[in-house]
Amino acid sequence: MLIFNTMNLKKFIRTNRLFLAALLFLIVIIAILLSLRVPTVTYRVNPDKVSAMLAESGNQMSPLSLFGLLSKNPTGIVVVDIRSSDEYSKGHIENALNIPVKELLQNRSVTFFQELEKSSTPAILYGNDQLQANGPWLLLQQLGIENVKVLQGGYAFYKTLPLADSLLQKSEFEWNVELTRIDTSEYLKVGNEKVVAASSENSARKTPEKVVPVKKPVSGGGGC
Amino acid sequence: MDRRYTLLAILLIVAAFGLLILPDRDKPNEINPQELLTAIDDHARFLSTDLITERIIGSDPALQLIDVRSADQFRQFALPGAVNIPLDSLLSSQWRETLMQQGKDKVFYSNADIEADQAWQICRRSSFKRIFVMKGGLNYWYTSIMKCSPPKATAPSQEIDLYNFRLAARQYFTGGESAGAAKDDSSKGAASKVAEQVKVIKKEPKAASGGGC
Repeated sequence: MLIFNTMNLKKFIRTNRLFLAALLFLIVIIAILLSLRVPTVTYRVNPDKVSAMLAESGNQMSPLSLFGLLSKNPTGIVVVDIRSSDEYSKGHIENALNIPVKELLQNRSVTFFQELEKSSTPAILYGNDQLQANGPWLLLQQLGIENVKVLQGGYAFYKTLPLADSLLQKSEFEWNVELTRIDTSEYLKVGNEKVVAASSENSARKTPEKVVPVKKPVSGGGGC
Repeated sequence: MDRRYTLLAILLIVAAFGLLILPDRDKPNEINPQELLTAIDDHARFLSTDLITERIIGSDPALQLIDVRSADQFRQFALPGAVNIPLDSLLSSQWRETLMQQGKDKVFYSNADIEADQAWQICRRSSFKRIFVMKGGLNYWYTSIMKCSPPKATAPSQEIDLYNFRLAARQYFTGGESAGAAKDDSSKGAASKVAEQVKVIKKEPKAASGGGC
């Protein structure tokens, strides 16, 4: 029985050699095409443009203007909480949606943001602090979703604020963490004294340093 | 000639044209958005100001600070050894070599950590290796080290050690007696402690030499 089968198979191969070759060829082509499958989410903005865009201002929104917008028209802006659902359930900005960072690129979330972009509805992202929302925000920008802003200071800052008219007196300085808090004049004063002190202290400071190099074993090449 | 061979040849030519219309992979060294999101969610990229300070004082050869603020701000004040690469010129060819340096930890900083983190993300997307962000930025560095305040007497010893380290660091950056900290005996002790610290220089493993015949 077995012998009959192998005989049969050999005969089959011999007569259909060309057909089998073509079949193999097609399989290889299909395999290559499948491995090239384009990821579902792709960048729409190239890195050079992103870094140029970052130089512009207006990517952030102060808690005050968010509060103003929400009190005028609660549905005028979509508020998105990117913290975990645990933290969200413990407290969040009123009417905020919860899209945890980990789920940001799921189809559901991406189509949600794309629809916001299409209908040009403004949206704002917030995390615990500003830094947490900053990364996801920049990622969305790179995916071509540009109507999203970041809440300055994040939720931790927002919930401590007594959101009232008194806030109107606060300046941009208090919201924008990227403004410098270093008093250069104070530092320069110190720096000048350094020049004087340096000559006398130079010898004292340069105590010999013990340097212990750590060598990692280098894997030797194998011979024959 | 055999008709079947002609058919196969035609098939091959058609497949070759198929290769032409395959989607572009113009930036093969870019990581895809999903990988980038995972990296964003990972907080290993943040280094504390105290750690950076320690490495500056120890003049760690593997540390490359990168200041992403404007050139103006950089001129006014910057950390020692930092290179100024403003955000909008981050990917210009001029800085490529600095950012690609092997065996160096590239640490971005700005006044806070927002802009530094943006710089990090752009570089991460272009798959640069060994890039970090200084958590808190210069503002936090300044308030925690140049303006450090003493802990309570009842504070745990770790906190007191940290305070002593910061006092010593302040002395290092200001050049000594000026800040009024030097009168404190403990700070002097800590200063010498920093100087005496044994430095460990990690060497990059050399490329394994391949054996062959």
